[in-house]
Amino acid sequence: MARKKHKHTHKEQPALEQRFDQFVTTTVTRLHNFWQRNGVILRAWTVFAAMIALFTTLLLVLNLYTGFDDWLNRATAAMLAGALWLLGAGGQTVGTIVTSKVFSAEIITECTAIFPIMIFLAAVIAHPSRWKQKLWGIVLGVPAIVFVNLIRLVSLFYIGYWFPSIFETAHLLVWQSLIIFFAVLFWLVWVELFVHRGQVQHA
Amino acid sequence: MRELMRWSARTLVSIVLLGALWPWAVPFYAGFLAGLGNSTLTLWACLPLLSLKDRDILLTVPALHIQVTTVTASFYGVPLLVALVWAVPALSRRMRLSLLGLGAMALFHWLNLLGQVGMLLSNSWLGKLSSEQLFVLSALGDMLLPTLFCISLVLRNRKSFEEARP
Repeated sequence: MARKKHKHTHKEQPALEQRFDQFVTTTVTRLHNFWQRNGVILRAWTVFAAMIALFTTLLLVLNLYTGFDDWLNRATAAMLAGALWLLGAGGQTVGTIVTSKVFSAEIITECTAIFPIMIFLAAVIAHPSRWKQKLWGIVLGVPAIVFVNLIRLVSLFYIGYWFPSIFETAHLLVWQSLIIFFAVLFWLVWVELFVHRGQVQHA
Repeated sequence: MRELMRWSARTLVSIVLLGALWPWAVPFYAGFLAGLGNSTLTLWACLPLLSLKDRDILLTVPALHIQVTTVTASFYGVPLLVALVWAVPALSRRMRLSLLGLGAMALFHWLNLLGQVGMLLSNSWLGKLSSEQLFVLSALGDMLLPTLFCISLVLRNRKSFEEARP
């Protein structure tokens, strides 16, 4: 009986080993294939997430120790007041509060272009490209986002004056989404104009 | 470049349309999240703390006599994500990707809610974060997830395009 049992275990062991080897080989091949298919995206995700974590920490530290948010709010308020003044709405600032003939509001961190800029910068850095191309993206993209944010604020002032009933929707839903859309759009334009065309020229 | 312009036009229209429609859907979504949050809190042997108030989720801590509205920013990431995914050109499996993105978004919102409850109940320095700093941590997700999703789709499309090139 003992002999029989011993024989049976001996027969089963190679089969188990074989199955385990097969499992390991299949898993490794699958992981390799997955990396082959998605390696670019996974690398980009990692860099993007790391950049966002870095920028967020930096922003929190700067806000805490240097009052960066206050400076940013005042600068945005000054730009908005200037734009309203140019449009004939008589924009004026008192600290971070902007007053005009059409509407008045206080500028807080959410009103500034800092978050879309952070996302745009992270996306530019995460995309596989040369540093010179990235630099072009940053130099042109950041002012473009600041400009779009200014258009957003000015338009919200006029929406608040002409259509107060839809102000909340325009403020929290439409423009909040649009500013991110513009950040993504500028990133896509940068990819198309600076990265793709650069690669075509090199090829 | 022409594709990009088409994508921009489609996204713009989608954002405006979905942005206009979303206020009607927000109470349902917020209610779903509050229910999910309460179920989780019950599992953790906490009292159900979340309730719906208009478009926002109200957080109540009876023991501390605290009642605050959570930072939700109207969950604008949801319509934004749908608009971005549906506007990507020549993309198959739109519905599957949209659902995947929405699942990720709901997961983020759920974790964010639990995080806010945790912060409010904790005595650590995290709990002392002001609402301004809390916004950086919470509402950023509504911007990040749709952007990350869109960038991934673009990279994926580009890779398959390059593979198909002779």
